[in-house]
Amino acid sequence: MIRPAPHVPGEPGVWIFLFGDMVVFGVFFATFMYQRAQAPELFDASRHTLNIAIGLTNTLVLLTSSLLVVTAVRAIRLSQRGAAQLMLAGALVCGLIFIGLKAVEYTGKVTAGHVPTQNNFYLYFFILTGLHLFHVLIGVGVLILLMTQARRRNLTATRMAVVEGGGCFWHLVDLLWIVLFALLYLVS
Amino acid sequence: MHVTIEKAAAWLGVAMLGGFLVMFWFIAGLIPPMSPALTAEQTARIYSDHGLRIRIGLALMLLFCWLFTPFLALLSRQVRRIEGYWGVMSLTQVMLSVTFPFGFAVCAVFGVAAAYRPERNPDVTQALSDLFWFIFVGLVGPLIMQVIILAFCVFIDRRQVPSFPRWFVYFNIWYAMLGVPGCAIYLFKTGPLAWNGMFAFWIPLTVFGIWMIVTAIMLTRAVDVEAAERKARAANREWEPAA
Amino acid sequence: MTFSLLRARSTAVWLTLVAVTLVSWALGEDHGVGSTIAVVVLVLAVVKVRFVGLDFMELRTAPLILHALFEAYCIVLWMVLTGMYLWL
Repeated sequence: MIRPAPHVPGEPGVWIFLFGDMVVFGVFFATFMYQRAQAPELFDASRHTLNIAIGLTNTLVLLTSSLLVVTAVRAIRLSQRGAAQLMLAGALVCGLIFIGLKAVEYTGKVTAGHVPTQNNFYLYFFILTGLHLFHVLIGVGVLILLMTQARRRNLTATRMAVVEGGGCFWHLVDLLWIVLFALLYLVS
Repeated sequence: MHVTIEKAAAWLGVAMLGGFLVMFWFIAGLIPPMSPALTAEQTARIYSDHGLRIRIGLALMLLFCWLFTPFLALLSRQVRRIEGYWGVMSLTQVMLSVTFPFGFAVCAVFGVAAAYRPERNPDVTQALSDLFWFIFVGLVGPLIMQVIILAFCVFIDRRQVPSFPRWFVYFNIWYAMLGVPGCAIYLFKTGPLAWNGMFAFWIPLTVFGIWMIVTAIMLTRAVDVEAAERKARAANREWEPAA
Repeated sequence: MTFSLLRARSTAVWLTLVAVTLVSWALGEDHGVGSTIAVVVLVLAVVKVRFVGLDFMELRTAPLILHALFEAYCIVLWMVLTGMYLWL
């Protein structure tokens, strides 16, 4: 069997950013685990006040959006513009659902008195999910950019690489949330 | 001649990075930062105990922070070259570059003021100290804006021989994202988003250092690209483009 | 049109990811401090991360250096987080 030639997803430079972000978030995750080790009972008790249904739904929503994005990128490669645009719109809707649920979750927590200054768990909860939400907001912008590119008839190699890179950024957002869901909602 | 001065400007920026660390860390001892959660008395104690070092380090910074400007001028000129004229993006670079040394200078003035009269009311000293940290750590907007414009310019650069490689786009985006958390220090007195915290201080400081060094290297390369273009135009007896 | 596009590896991976997520949730929801279930949850999380990187980010068909760096990240992340959970 002849293996296909290796293909860099996106422009090579985008991986500086993607790996860089993954490493920095890795530092954030480790910082959280360190703080958890200082007060494991507090973290566990606080964890149980989280709305795990929202966390779970958000995880499934992001996973679905990633499937839509990777399929859309393949559709663009195969010049199936209509399908690509449809799927990217779907991914965008998923992104907006995530943001909406986050807003609901934050409001619910704050009105119940769980504010970032309450204890270390909630401090890190709001900061980590807040930084992630910042990435989601940028990701929504990236998805809109991908939708404009999906309208084009012929994409140059650079444009295609930008599309792939943009898709990878969305998968990064999904990937980071997978770890956050595990750390914040399940493990601590 | 152009090339020598321009490259010197790039390396002067890196030298100032070192200078900044020497002045703020080794001389003044303000890095690692004091905690925002200290009382006024404790804060005043720090400024009186270490008053001389702080004043010397910050006074030197006030004198030398302007040495960042040639580096930023070079950056603005390279953006101008990509844009093709002194357009919105290049001019914004210039204007934001003007604010950059002031970020260091103004915060240094407040820091020196805090250390100037140890016998005064501790609350006043703490207020002045707060202003130092608010500006030093929290004023992230100008530089973030500059690197985002730089990233955008490199991204849209469609010339045959671009001044900067494509990965520089993503590198600048990475730096911008990591620099942003500094703006949150006004809301926290403890934790990772306080002015002495991991996310708001240490990570932005580290990536700022990396950014300056990498950008200086990229600028010297861009200067070479420009010099080669100038030579090619001279060989073809073409007019030099307007400055 | 759309459905033939979905008949691909990425859809199968998605189904796996959803299943693993539900399993993690069922396991992780109610457990106390310092239990082995948390270790399992962390393993499952890294497994999911790996699938997202290899099949959604298409690192499986990427040059070796990128693929290897990503695998290294997954391993280091798993070791650091699990180690900190168990031994700090």
